[in-house]
Amino acid sequence: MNYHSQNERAHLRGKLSRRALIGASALALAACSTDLLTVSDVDIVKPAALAGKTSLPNVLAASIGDFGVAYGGSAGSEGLNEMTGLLADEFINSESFPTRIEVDQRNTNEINATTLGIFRTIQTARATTDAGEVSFATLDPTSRSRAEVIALNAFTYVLLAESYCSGVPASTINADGSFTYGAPMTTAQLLTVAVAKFDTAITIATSTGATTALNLARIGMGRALVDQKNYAAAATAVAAVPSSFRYVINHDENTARQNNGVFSFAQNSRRFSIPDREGVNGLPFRSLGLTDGRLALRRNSASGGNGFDNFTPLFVSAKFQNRSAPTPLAEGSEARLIEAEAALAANDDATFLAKLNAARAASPTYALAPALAPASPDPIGAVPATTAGKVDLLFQERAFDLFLTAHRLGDLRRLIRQYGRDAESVFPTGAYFKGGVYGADVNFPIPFEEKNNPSFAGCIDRKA
Amino acid sequence: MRTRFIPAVGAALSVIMASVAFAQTGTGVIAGRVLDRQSQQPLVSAQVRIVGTQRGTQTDQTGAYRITGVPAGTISVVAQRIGYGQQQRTIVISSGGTATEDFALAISATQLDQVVVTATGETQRKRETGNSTATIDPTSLPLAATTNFSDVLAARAPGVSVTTSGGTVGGGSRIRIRGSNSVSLSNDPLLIIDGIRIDNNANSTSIGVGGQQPSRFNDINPDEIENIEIIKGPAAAALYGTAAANGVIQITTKKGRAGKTRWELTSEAGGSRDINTYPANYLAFGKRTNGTFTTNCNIDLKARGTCTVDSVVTNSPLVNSNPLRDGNRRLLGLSAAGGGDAATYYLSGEYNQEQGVYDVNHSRQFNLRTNVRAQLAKTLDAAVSVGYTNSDLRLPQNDNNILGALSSALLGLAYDCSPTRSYPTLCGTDTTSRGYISGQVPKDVYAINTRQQVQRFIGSVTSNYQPLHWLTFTGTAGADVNGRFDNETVPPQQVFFGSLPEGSRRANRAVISNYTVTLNGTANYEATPVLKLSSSLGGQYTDNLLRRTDAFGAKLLAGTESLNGTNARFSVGEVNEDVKLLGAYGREQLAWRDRVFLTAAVRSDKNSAFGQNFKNIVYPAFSGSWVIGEEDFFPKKLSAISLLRLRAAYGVSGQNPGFRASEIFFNPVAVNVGGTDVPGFTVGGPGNSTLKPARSAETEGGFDLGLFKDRLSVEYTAYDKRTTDDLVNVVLAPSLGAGNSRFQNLGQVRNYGQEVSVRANVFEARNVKFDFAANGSFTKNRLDDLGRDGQGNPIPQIFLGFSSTQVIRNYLPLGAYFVRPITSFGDANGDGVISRVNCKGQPVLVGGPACEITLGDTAEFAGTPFATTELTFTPTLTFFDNIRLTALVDHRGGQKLYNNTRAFRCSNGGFQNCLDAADASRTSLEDQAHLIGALMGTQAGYIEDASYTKLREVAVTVMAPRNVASRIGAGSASLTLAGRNLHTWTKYTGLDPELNALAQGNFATADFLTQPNIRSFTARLNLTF
Repeated sequence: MNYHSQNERAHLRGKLSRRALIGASALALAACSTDLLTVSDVDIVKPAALAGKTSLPNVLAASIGDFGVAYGGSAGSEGLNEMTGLLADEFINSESFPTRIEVDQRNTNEINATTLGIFRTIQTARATTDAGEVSFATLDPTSRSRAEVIALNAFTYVLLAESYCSGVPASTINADGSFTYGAPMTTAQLLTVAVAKFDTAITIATSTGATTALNLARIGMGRALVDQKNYAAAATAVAAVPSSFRYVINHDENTARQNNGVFSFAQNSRRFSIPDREGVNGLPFRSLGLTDGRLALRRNSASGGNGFDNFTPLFVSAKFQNRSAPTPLAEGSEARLIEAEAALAANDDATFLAKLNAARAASPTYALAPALAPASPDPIGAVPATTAGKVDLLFQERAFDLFLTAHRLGDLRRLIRQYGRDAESVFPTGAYFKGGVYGADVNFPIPFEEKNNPSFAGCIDRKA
Repeated sequence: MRTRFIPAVGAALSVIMASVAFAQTGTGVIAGRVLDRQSQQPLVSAQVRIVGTQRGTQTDQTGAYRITGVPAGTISVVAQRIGYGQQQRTIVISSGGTATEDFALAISATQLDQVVVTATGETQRKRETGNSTATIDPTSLPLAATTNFSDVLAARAPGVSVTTSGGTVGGGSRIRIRGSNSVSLSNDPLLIIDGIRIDNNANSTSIGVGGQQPSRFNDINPDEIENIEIIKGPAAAALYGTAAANGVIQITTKKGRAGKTRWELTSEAGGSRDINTYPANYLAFGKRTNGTFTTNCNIDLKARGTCTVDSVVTNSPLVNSNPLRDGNRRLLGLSAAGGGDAATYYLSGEYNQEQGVYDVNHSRQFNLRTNVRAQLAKTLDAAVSVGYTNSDLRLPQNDNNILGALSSALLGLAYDCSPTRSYPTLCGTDTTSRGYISGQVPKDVYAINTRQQVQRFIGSVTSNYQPLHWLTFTGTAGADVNGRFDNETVPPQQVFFGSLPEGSRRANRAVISNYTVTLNGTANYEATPVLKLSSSLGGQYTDNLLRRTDAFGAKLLAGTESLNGTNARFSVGEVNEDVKLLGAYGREQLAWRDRVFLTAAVRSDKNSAFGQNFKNIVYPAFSGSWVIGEEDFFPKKLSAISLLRLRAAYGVSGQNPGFRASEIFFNPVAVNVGGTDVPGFTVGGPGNSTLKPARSAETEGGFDLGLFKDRLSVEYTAYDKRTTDDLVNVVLAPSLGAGNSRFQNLGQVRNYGQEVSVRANVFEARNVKFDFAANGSFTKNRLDDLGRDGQGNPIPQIFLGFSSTQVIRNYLPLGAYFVRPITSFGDANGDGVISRVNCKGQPVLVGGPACEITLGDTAEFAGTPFATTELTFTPTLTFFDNIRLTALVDHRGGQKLYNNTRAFRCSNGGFQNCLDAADASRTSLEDQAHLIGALMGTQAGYIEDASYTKLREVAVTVMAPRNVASRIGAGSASLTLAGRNLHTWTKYTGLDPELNALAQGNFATADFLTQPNIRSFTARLNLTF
């Protein structure tokens, strides 16, 4: 092919200087190409930056933060505290979202974006505290924070056991990005893991002198043992916990993620209301809570006093009166209630009554009206004569003392599992106030998305 | 990340450029006019260009053209215009002289010689490419009937599907070209203006208002556009590289023309109106079996014997306190175009404002453009294109938002709580809501001021250097820098919901930048008198940057609208993202006797978003075009066929993952530890270092047919596009506690279909002319495989959309509706009510009817949200060459739409305020079955056939005779009266079958309390001087 005429070739020869210039430009382009695809990423933190001992305070914060969101919720996501309350009788739905109505109606589909969210956050808390435990063990095994992280990790197993069907997997993402999928664990297996972890936490807290973590782990241990129906061991575990002890998840106005979930979803956006005898079997929270400082209920004053749906009366608790209200996780009064239950199991009425009253005395109370001082409940004068009456009293005391702290669902399940009651005599039942009837759920199903775990096929069972 | 092929590209370019020599000859001028051969009327905007070069111009209002700086010698000049056949002449140019050449073009329905811009920045005739490329000429459209760029695209080209998301001013449209390629990545086409990539984000906001979102496509001013080319898929887009798999919309803005300055004044005014009849709210008041009063004895509860109805009450909040108003639109634009031998220019400025049907929905947009082209040397030209957009959009609360006007009304009460209320017990202390669920009328909620202000600069410089007659270099460099300010003010004590009474201010400032540099060298040479070869080599670099700072504060001081006035809950955040691309390409074309064209091309890309283990990807492309109708052996005299071209193409393109998708990372968060906020972190992304681009390969073939002396043209294309290694954002098992999802190269998606385009000059007499264009496209989309995990197990289906009614599932269209069907229903006991009592798993009623409705046991495919058939018909009737009547009829068929407005109103436990729920006597059994089915757990009854035919546009344009125009001092004058959204034929029972409360997302589609499209009428006056 003849690309050039002779004249053009002559011009070519005369343009050597241009050739040099262009060649240099091309070379310059090639040289700088090394950096052409380099990008910076400044908004996030990569694992390598958290691998040193100096990062352990951040690891502790990560553990507390993720646990707090999973447990107490935030402005943007419900925690197990709100959602277990909704499935039980502490909350009714006062809005329009079908995914939360399903939960309230005890009819949750495994495809449900809301319950997917809470399962993800509690599993995230489990994974973060799992990793946190490893970090402390590797980098500073004598740290006083180590036991606290382990105790929080153990609490995630308790919450999974109390809230979900039997068959909860715990999987792991490895350092290289690969996954190790966990097999489904029965409720009993979850509790066994929790007990073991609390035991480790107690041992480490004792050796490091971490008093707060020690009492946190003791109450956690007691709670897990009660779930295992080992009341005497539970009482022993919590015996040394002072009644004044209090471990809370601190919420904060600082960021939406830190806001108190109950306040955000109930009082602020009016999605959940505190009911009275929900579905026949529910406790009379409204009736009694208007005068009991442990609940300190009142009808919300905004928007005609109704919820988001504009027709469900909205009752809220002074316990969660603002975004920074803390969510209790473990309190001395719970230790006394655990002891009371052990006394009940031992048919020791005197101790039973004393421990109930000790719990009442220790339980934090809140103002029934903004201008009033917190209202403490009077001591209980006598225990009922019948065993059933005593059980009812115990569980009502637990419900009021531990109100909206993610205990109630586990308690309702225990009433079925440990006290032989029928689900339809414990959970809300009958006609649902927004139409339809209550379903049969006594726990949450594992979300459909868990089927991305090849070791998981579905709940082992949905029993209490 | 190191690159190895750039040195090679640089070296190759330097070798080519080093062979440069100037052809030292003089220059001259070509000038003349282009006329309609029959009417001898001037043809405006006809293209005249010098064959084999980038040099050319367009005719002005008088049909005149002028090209300066033409190298002396013998050249070929071609004149062409859409709707006319081209003419080519050989002209001798003398140094310093002016050659005059007039053209008279005959009407032709074929477009074979129309010029398109290629990926290399050069121009080509359509006959040279083996692909189907659609061309839209906005100057030939009745722009008065359009309100934004999306409207200009809608229903103009086969295979290009544009669906508006609603009737909100400033809302966007979902644009798909030949279906959706990816499960998780954006399916929006690449957008190019004057050679540079620009921001194509169809959901561009950081502050939600419930559903509708602005699209950056609509920053583009249609009046500035000279030409739009739509490259439909990888078969044609391979050389555009990574990000072009979804097709490319390539815009060329208007250029100046040599000659005296031509001024054009455009003025537009119009109005719009919501023409919908909204349903009222109903409730059945009654008594429960225990005698207590209930406000909701709906047909289900009544059938189950739990209550009896006393009365059905009704109320329409939208009537009580109507939030709707008439909208309006104003536009004023002025442009100047002209130039001399050395340079030409086009300057324009346009201001438009639009008021929607809510007081708080309006937009103002100001566009400026300066395009200058200069002949810098005999062989070197440069064109500078600068566009500036300044806009201010205010959006209303609506869609999935309890504060929205429609949502609050349609989910509201069936009784009025005005001061004269009829139900004081129910209303309690409420005297103001008028039945709106939010507890306040929309005009109070209007206090929320949500805005988006944009200042956008799009500038590019393109230079052509033709050192030898066979060698051309083209370089383009430019930037799209978009300063977007999303902000929202909630004044204190005006909106009573949640924290809103405190007042707040949110101010999110972003700069979104796209930088493009493209270099290309092309050598054209004649191997033999009948064989021409063209070789191109080039490279491209792009950088897409996002820099955003978000700030929020609450407890706003009344009277302020700034963060300065806030006093609590301060929040700040940053988003910094950067994706860079580096590509090199080569192309070789063989042209034999100007009838057979074979092209082979290849492009290789690197991208900063790929995983560390991935180096680069190669995209090949091949195409062939044979104008067989021009072959000697082709029978001409005996055939009605005046033109026939056969074509085929194959190409591959890709999509890159998003920023950071390959990285494992944590997000920083604040945590309160022991009463003090300290820095913590939480799960960010699980990362995937093996990521590589999704790869879409497309094969297409078809023909262009001219009949009856090109009075009728048919363009037919069949295509098959397969995406492999699709980047699926795989939902992670929650038990990992490691984030929600992770991208993996897994999926296989197929799009295949056919496109037909017909143009006909049906009738042409002295004073009357009738022609039409009709397009049809038939698109099938299917997920062939969602992929398998590391253990070989299939990835489970992914649910999406409201109530999880849609699914990503093997062998179904992406985003298919997938629900349990209602398999049967009937009024067994003849009471006029469909009841679920005594059905499997439903309430038992002793003495009640036998089960009257049954559902399928498992979910089934219930339709696709995307139209599978799109037909458009655009007739044009012209009288006396001065009056033109056009219409656009648009049919979409085969798609379903989830009528969640009706589903939610009827079946949601919190409301059940629709007529279906309240009164069986006025509701068909089928509608009752849909409601009862929803209560039993399926939304099947509300996934409706959303096929429709719309009379989208009608426009009448009157062009004043020249003597009339001259009386007002104008060179030309025209007045267009246009209407949009004039009528809809559909079986869809909702307000509008063309809605999406989920804006322009990939697949999730639903009608949910969305403002329907509005009808508008506009008058537009164009004057040139």
